[in-house]
Amino acid sequence: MSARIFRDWWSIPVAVVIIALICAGAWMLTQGLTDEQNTAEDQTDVQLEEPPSEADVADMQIEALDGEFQIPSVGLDTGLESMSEVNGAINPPGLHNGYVVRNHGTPDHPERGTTYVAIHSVQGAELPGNTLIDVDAGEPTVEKGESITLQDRDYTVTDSYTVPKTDISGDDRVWADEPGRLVILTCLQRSSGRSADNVVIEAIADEQ
Amino acid sequence: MRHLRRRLPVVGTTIALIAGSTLLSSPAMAAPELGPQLSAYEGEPDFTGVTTNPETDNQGGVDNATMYGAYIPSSGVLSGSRVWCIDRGLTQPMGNGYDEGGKSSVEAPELAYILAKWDEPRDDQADQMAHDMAIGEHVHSSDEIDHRDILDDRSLQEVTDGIGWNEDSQNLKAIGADAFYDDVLPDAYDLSALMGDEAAKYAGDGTYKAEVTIDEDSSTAVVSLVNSEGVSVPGFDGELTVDGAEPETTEITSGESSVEVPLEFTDEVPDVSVSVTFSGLPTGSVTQWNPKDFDADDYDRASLQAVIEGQETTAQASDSYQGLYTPKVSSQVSVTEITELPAKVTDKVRLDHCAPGETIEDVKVEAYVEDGTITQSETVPEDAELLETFTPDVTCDEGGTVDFETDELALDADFAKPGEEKSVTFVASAPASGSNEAFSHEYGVPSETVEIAIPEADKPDDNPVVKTGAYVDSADGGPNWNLVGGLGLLTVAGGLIFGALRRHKTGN
Repeated sequence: MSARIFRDWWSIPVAVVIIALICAGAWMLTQGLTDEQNTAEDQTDVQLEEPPSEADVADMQIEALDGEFQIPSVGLDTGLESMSEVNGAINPPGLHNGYVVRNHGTPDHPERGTTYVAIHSVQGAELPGNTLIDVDAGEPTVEKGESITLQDRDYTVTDSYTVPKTDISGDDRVWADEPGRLVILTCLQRSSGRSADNVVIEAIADEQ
Repeated sequence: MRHLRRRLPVVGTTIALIAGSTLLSSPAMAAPELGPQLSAYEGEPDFTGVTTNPETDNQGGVDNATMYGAYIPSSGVLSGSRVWCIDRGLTQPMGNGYDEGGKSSVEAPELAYILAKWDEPRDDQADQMAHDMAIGEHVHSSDEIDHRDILDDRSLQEVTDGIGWNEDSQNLKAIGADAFYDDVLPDAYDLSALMGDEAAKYAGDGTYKAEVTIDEDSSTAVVSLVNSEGVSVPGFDGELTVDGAEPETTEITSGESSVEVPLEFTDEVPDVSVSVTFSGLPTGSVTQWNPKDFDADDYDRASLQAVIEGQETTAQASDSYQGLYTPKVSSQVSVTEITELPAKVTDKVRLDHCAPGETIEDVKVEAYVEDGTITQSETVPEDAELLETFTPDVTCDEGGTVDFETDELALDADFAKPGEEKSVTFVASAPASGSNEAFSHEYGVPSETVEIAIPEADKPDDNPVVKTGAYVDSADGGPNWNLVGGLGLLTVAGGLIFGALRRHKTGN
């Protein structure tokens, strides 16, 4: 009995080492997984696919707007700013808010023409714009008949669809300037790789 | 009062008043200073009229007469005054027969009017005689005073047609009988009628009031003299005193209607006062002078006649007119065009021709807004929206001008949207206050109007692309060493466990 004990003397330190390795490894794994989660949620790590230059941002003349941007059916509830389209692109500089495009459509007189609102969606994170897209299905989440509130006006969704990013500037459906019309623009994210399509949500102002 | 106050016994008495200065009996002799009645009239230089022919009075006296004319005593308290005998047949008046003790005032509006209007010396003897005989008729026939007549009351015409006129009178002789009968008497009849008519029409209760008003529209002083019944009384002289204007005349005579005297205001904003004083007006009463021996021994015929004289007074009125200043408004907004909001704007207002040194009450400057452009108009259009009302304190300076500025009118960022055009205009106004007339600037005066036009953002010709994609940059943080290390440690631990178990089995 004692000989066996002496023969297996090494098992005790090995067990200690194993336990220590398991504990340390478990701790590091937990920390690592937490870091991964935080990274996914930390917007400081979110990058615009095509970030605008500082000069472009200055030209956008970003201004805060009163009122909310809400689509209750998908849980969107965020703030608003205004911006100008610069160099042929609508490229909001911020991630969370919706951006009313100042120089496209007729945003100063919504009753007279179309108001365009752009909002970013993010691959690998859940920011407000992501509520508008179903990445797995590859389509918008918002459906016809749902309600949208933009500042002091209510709208009803009339259509939602995707358009290849390369085609959107030439798609007359998107850019028709019609009284009381609202168009919400974002990107349709994919599981991997950069977005290739835009999501377009059309709505019409409710009668006041 | 045309009855004999005290009827004296005739029997045993004789008349003291006989031409030729014969005093016949004792009662008459008791009367002091009795002069020869008729002779006195004949040669009396201070009697302006004519007497009737001598007659016997109702007390039995003879050669008495009635005086139709003014008596002008040369002595006594009435020296130089024109007085009028009121007792037919009593002894002729004489200056020393009266003193202040016999003086009283008797209310007699019509007689007072006649005396005030007509009792004055005249250059022409016949003309004066006609006037004074007419006045004498009214004095003798007046019901407003008490008479102690011992001769019948007769009008001029009744004298002419009856007992006749004393042609021995020096006054009558002086102008000649023909002139007396052909000219004086007819004039006297007419004048007497005229005096009576006027007195009945204008005397009222004997009070008179001057009135004057300044008619600023016609620049005239409107003057009148009215009696107690409000009837304009003509024929009395008045004098105007005017400050702040040049009157066309200062001498006026009252008329049957108001007299208008043109005024030329000397100042651009008139500050005029006018007063009028009518003089020589009747008081409504006459002064009666009873003789010293008025109550002498129940023998009226031996008493001097009482006399009356006219009273005169003045009436004054005044009016003033302070013309109003008419402030002229001019103004300038601090900015006439606004292309960016928010913005602030003020209105600088200047008032000219306001009352120097005077505070203008309730000045307000209203700011209105309209869509589009504003058209100038006298009134504020219905679709104009009142934005704000400023109420500055404004006091005109000594030069008659004042400048003031409103507080800032703040126009918020959303006051006008890009592409919209609005206009804001200021309207300065104030109601009349003090010496300032009301004023109001018109609505939409260009210098008081701000045009607000916010340009729309330039729109690109081409439609944009939409870059709304983002991603989580996992490369930024480097390898996840915790994750890698943890997995590594667990792998080593697993290897050790596997090795230990194998050796343990091998060792068995």
